[in-house]
Amino acid sequence: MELQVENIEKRYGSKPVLKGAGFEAAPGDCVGILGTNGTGKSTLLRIIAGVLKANGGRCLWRGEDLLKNASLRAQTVAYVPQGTPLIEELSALDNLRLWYEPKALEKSLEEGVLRQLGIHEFLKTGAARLSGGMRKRLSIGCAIAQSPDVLLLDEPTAALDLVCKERILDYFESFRKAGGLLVMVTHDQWELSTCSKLYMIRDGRLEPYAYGGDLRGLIRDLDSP
Amino acid sequence: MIYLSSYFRLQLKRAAKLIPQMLAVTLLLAALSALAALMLAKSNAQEASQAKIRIGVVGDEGESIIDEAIDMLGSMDTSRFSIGLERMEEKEAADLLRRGKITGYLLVPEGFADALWYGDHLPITYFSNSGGADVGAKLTRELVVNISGLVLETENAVYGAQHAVRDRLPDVSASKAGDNLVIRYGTGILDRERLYNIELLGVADSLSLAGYYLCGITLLFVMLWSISCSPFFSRRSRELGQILSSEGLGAPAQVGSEFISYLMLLLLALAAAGLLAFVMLSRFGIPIPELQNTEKSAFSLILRFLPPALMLCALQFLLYELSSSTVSAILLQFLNAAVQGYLSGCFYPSSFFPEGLRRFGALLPAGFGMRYLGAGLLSKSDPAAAAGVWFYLLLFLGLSLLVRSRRNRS
Repeated sequence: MELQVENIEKRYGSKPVLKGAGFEAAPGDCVGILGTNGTGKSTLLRIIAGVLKANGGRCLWRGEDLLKNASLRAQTVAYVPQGTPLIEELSALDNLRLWYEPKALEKSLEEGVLRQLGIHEFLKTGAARLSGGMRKRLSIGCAIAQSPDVLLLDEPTAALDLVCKERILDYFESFRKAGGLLVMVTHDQWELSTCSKLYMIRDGRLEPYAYGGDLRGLIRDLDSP
Repeated sequence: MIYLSSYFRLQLKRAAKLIPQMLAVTLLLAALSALAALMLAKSNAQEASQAKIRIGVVGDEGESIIDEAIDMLGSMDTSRFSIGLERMEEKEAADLLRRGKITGYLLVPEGFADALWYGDHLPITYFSNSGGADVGAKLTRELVVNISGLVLETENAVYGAQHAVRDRLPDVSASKAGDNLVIRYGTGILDRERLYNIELLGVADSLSLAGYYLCGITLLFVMLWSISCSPFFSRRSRELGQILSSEGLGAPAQVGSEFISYLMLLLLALAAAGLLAFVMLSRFGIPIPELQNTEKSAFSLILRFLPPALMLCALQFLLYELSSSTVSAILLQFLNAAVQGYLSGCFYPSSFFPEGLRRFGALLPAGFGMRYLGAGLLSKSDPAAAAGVWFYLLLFLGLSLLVRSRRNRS
């Protein structure tokens, strides 16, 4: 496995949130992480992205610990948080300029991923005036500027309309087909159906989970201690 | 890879988008500040004229010498700027004294002028209502005794000299010699300006009131102005800061880029406000003594204003870093301006405050700012004030950095 997340521990003050969480995944996988609110799903994602520091554990990518190698992590991992990591006053184009080299940006907008995400349609619009779906697409567009191998997503299509959701999930599909690895925190049924591997967080640890499409069963499982 | 230059350029662009809104607030604030300065200057001028001590003079209406003396003192003597002598009836004088409208009155006894003519001295009585318990009354009594003695002895000398002239130099007109002596005596008494120098102590190390308020209003302007920049701070994305940090653009680069962009806005605002204030102050003619007859250029003045402005800018930046919402940020900025402005003497000269409060106010950032600006206006150097200003600047920037680092990791 090229991505090995091992024994991640995280405490907020004296309260342990993650107590040795870990999973494995290979390129082309789509890993879904399930759990009720406050169980540490987003925390795990932010640790892998390098936003938060773990109290223990490793995150290996092809044998290199991403938690100790910031430059490798920056090249390998991209993170799309639940909120909006955009500069609100500036246009979509300006936001992209922060992350892309000018030539790469032009190319991507003409025939690359940014065109696939439909960002060229609202380039001149201010980020504050974009709809939820546009903002999410722009956030993804910004995150993948370095052509990452691993894309971490925190509830990527939450509160989006169906058309927008489909457009984003289509992109995820093509990302996987191109050898990318997706790790997403999700509660969404549609997203769950795209995942090749599912894990549920229980008591700070990840347990493999098999989702057969039974939503009531999922709710029961989430609710059980 | 995120480049610092890209982030900085985009922060400048963010700041530039705020310019129209910021300039509108700046011009409004500057106009209000200039208006406040105008009103302060006018009220000070009015207070100065009202501050003249009114003293009543009561005496026989037939004694024309009293009117002549009042006219003489009122038109020639330097005391005319601080003491107003008014002829009045004793009943009226007593009534005005009781109501506190006059400080006191002089009762000139009947036949005072005739007695003087014959070399006698009938004492003038000074009435006041302070009961003699305060220093002013004691000083007044002392002065009355001394001046009475001086007048009596001098008059005796003048008339003695007149007799001597009449006896020994029969050719010289005795009355003319006597008149000359009286005139020379009078001139000597009235020309007191040559006997001592008047040194007016200013509100803060010899800074004029107008100069003091220029410093105060400038600092207050900078503190209040920050409110116009709240969108620059409140629209920042916490997630963006965290991701940038994980990508290698850490808190120092983020804080540095944003602070410099914010500073650019402040400089623009200072230039616009300075221009407007200059036009208004010249139009309404408020002279600032420290700026007259000097070769200070506008550029050197702005350079002088820069370190305290930088320091306050850093404080505002820190307050915005600490605030969780736009409303709390604006409230914090307003409270900061009000409390610091008051305690550090931007509203009133700090010399009006009790010693403890004055010392505390002087230790606040705005207190150091006032000292620094005041020294600048007087073309003096104040190393302690400069050290305070730079210390606070570094402290606020350091704390902002700390807060941003913590927020990026939380």
